[in-house]
Amino acid sequence: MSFVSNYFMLSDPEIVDNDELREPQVLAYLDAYKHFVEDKSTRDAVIVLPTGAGKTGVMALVPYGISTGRVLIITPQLVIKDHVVESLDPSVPSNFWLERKVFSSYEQLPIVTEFDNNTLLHELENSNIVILNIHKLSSQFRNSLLKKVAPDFFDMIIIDEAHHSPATTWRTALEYFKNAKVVKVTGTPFRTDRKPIEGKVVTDYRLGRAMQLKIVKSLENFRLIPDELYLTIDEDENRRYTVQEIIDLGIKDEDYVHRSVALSPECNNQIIDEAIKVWKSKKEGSSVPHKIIAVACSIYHAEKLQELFHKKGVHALVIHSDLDKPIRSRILADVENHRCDAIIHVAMLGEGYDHTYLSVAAIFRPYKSLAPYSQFIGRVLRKVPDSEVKKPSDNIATVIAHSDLGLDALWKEYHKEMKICSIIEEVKKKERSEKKLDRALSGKSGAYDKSTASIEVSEELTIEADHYIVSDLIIENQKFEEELMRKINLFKESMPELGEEEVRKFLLSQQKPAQTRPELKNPKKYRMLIRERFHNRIYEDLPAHFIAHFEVEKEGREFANALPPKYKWIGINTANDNAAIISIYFNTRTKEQFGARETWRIDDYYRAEEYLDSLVEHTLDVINSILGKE
Amino acid sequence: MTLVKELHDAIYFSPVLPQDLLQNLSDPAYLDVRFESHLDGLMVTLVFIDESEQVTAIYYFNRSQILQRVEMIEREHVSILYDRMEVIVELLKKSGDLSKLEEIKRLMAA
Repeated sequence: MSFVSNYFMLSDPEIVDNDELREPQVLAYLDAYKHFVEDKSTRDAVIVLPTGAGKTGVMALVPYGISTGRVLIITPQLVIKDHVVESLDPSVPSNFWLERKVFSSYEQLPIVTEFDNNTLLHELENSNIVILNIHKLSSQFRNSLLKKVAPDFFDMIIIDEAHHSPATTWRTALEYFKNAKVVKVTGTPFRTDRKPIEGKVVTDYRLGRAMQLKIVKSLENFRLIPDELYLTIDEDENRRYTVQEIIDLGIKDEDYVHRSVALSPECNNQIIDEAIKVWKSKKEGSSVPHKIIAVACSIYHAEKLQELFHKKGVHALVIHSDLDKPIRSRILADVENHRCDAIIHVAMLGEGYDHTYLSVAAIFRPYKSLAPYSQFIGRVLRKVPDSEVKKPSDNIATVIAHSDLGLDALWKEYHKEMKICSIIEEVKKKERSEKKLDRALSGKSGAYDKSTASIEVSEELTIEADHYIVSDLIIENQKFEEELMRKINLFKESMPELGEEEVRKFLLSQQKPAQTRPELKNPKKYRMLIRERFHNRIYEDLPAHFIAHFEVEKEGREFANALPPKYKWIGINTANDNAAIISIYFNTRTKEQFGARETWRIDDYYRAEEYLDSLVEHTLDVINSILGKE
Repeated sequence: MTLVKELHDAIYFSPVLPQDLLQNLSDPAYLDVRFESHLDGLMVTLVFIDESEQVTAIYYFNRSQILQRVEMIEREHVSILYDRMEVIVELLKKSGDLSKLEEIKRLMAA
């Protein structure tokens, strides 16, 4: 991959007719294209997409055919930045462009750089996309991007989660790059300070439609627990009030009540019990690793909830910003790798954190405004891929909160979207039956007659195919039974005192299938074999495969400069030869993905093997694109 | 081996027999090998130490002593090492006809 300054105008991505892309992604792209190219507007374009509808993908598509230069993507939080970097990292085989078939080869991808303190100017100059978190734009920051590049360095600026209020940093940055096209992507058209986001809303994609198209999970089972609740004030056990009494009598304000409910162990227990019940019913008969995500008021509160979950046999982890980064990373890796049943967070995973299998949202804190509330619910809306779905409820998210947390008004917003979803569904059904009726009534379309004829044929074919495999099995078993009877009779000839059943049992116990699984006989050895196989793949097979594939010497260092930029450090150590570089690279990538090897369980090895399969193919392409040019 | 033969093996044979697991008792790393009845069949629990960690493996056999499922429990996490139904489903997928699963289940129950 070499730098081409006009890359986004010269590339030929598959966007409009690409079935791998979601409807909101294509629509948002077309809307942005119309706004900037056809309407030649200089106003900021605002794209409103519900969480889970594919915002990162929109950011990956929007520059094509629109941006005549470099693109800057600004994220509001480190968790979001990490997610965007991971999705748009060309060195990852599952990067958005290849995974969604926007491009078919690594060489067609843009050069993407994550901006940090060590990023050099020439790296920025040779990038098509630069990604950074907002704090790296602060003018007080010694290594601020604003101090490194000229105002016309970027032609397009994409702001992720643009509903964050425009702090001074944002304003300064946008004023600095004042001639750049600005695209603001968000899940809500309102800023956190409730003011509308500046710019023209070019796309406003409804959550209800995303649910109807099954782009995101459905929220059909929204549950509130309508339990009558009594509160005592100032530890006076003699007088108990209902929530309504406290508010009517003006003893305390609503905030007080909501906070009390959120922290009450009784209410917490009710929510936990309900969450566990729903979670267990989702897991029943499904191999989807559903999990609960909970939000707590404080770290102390989160730890109390963790205890309650543990007492009920649910392994819950707590994450908050006071934890050191390595600990936070380990906890997130545990969630990714299904080493827990629930994750409780305190002001951390509100937005931008994506884990497909979060299916039950338990709310243990009050919310005042829609934006953070919907961001939290957005965590459970990511769709479980069709290939993994075992039952319909796998793609239904459940939100559980206490009715006295004061969330009713916010819930109504979601209810409206669910109504929209069901209305669209009804309209579609009617449209379908209307079309069928039209066809039948008109009688003039040859298609109607043809379809009847083809159904008859295909039914017969199906029956034949159905019959095939079972009948062959029966024949196979008849042969087996005949052979077994022959042996039983032979046995009985020489040992007539033995009963037929006895001989049958003995013969069957001696009978082995053509394919046995000897490794299963000793589970300890099985575990060891899985570990060894993986180790050998990393330290022997892969270096050998790469060395042979590129026809280089083991002792050479050709791979030192051929790894993706993020992993160049591996090649810097001159003691590492080609074999070592490949081993360290794959070892590092699997460690990043699954955590340290000593924490892996058998499942992790299985998944790591699959991960390596795709990573190897992709790394061959990456290295080929660099070595092939030399 | 033909697909039909593979399916036949998966339906009528067991890749491991309960008595095969007894051999593990000779390994001192095994703390326990326990046989118990489970539903109509048999459950064999093996507890062993591997890399200083206690691991449990559970083997489920049906009444015909055909292995149904093997689970390994490491640090309270369960991994599936073998699942007879999954093997059969994978073979049916290869044949391109999953719709026969119900009939195969009836064959298995017969």
